[in-house]
Amino acid sequence: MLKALVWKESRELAPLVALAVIAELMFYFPLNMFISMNMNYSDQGRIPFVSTSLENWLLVVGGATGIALGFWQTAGELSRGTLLFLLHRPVERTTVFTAKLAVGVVLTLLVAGVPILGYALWAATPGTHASPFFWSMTTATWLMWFRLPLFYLGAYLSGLRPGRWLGSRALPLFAAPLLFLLLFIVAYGPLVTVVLTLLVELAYLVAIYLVAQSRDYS
Amino acid sequence: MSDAIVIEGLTKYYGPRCVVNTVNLRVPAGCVYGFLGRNGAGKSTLVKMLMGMVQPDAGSSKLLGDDSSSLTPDTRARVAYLAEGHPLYRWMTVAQATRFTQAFYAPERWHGRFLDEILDHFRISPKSKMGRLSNGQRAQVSLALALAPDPELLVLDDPTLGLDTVVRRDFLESMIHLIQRSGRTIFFSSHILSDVERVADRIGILVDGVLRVDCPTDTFKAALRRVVLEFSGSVPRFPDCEGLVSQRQIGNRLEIVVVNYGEVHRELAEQLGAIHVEEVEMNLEDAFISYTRGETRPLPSFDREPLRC
Repeated sequence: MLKALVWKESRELAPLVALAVIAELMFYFPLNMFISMNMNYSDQGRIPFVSTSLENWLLVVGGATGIALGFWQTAGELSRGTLLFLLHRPVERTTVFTAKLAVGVVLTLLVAGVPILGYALWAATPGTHASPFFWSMTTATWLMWFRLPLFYLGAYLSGLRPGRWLGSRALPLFAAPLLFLLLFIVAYGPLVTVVLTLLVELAYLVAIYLVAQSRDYS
Repeated sequence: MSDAIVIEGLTKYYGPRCVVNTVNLRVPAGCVYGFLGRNGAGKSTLVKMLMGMVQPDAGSSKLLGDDSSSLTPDTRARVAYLAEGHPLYRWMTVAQATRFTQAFYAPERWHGRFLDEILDHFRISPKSKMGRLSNGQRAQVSLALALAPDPELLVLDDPTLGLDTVVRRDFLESMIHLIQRSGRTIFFSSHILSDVERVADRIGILVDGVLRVDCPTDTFKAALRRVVLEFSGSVPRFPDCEGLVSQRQIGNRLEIVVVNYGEVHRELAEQLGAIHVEEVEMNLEDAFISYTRGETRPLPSFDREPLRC
């Protein structure tokens, strides 16, 4: 049954993930690798994982994908009425939402994580670019990647929350980039950042489960 | 006989508006219960509260002895629910929807062959995409999926909504044939009386959130009378009394609809000075319309002036 739920969620979100992958493949990577391979001494900003352009781009694609996935799984399914069909299956409501959240978080992380890993492997391969590379150079990018589910969870909670006014309903989504930045600014080291990020994400999850159990599906 | 559905004081507000008002209802096991009401009467909200999709503001309900607000997976497996509009995943094929639904039920509960036979009866290919099916076909797939786990209780929320007359008739006839087996309880809401009349042993009528009728279908039909009072002069209002459902003025006549029309009502009619009193039997549809229409403004009459074409 869990397998069926995961299959359904993955299959439903596949078109959105495909769009994100196309955006990554078509726009960023060919361009970035081309610049890295052709850089000169005055262009040190293009050193892989020293430049911030990769982070910015992944932030845009990963964040946008997370928001799209979160809304699709909640507001989308509510508006199509299929949530009534899903919630009447003989399974605990928490199982349904856990499957949805697990698939959403994993896909959000994969959309950004696979390109980062690919880029890092490329950068770690000798002879591909004329600049130094150490794996520790990727830490900041991985920390950013770890914070991406905030966008997904913010959108998920906003899509699930009942609210008459869009502004108040979207509060969790508006809070996500602020928390994202806050966790970036208050950086005491990777471990602290990871723990703080997990705590914020846990708070989002608790709110999601509370809303999922208490809201009306009308 | 035990009750498959028990509703006690169920109430729901949307903002200041009370959409379901202190509804009490019991549906015995094995009964086919038609739940009627006009659009917006609160039927869907009540059905959703029954299914645990909407939380009541007051009162409670039980399905097969299990509290609606916390239905266990075991109880859900014994109850089929067809939501309004037959929501199914449009990107799935019928075969995919079948496999997906089947995954939630124990193998001994799932009657795959029966489901295939229903789909075959409706001439729906398992390879068809849900998004390409007509509303009627989607309703048929929904029904097939709902019946495959052999539920003890079926809750159908306006299952014929949005279907044209022919498809609706076909769907209902198939539904009656397929779902009626001994001991199975069916609770279905509709705003179309003829749909209910054909199937239901018992009916309930919800008017503005209040359950005004809960009785066997024949009893309802027999108890309601339309009485036409004719006056020579101005038409007075019929005084409020027990059993009075509605009254409306048409020209110099006053039409009243009364439950259990009797001596008390006859005396009141005489006291009003009616020159002619006529009792008219009502068919179920007229009875339902009278019951749910409520108070109306007087209709204009052309009696006094000739029509000009």
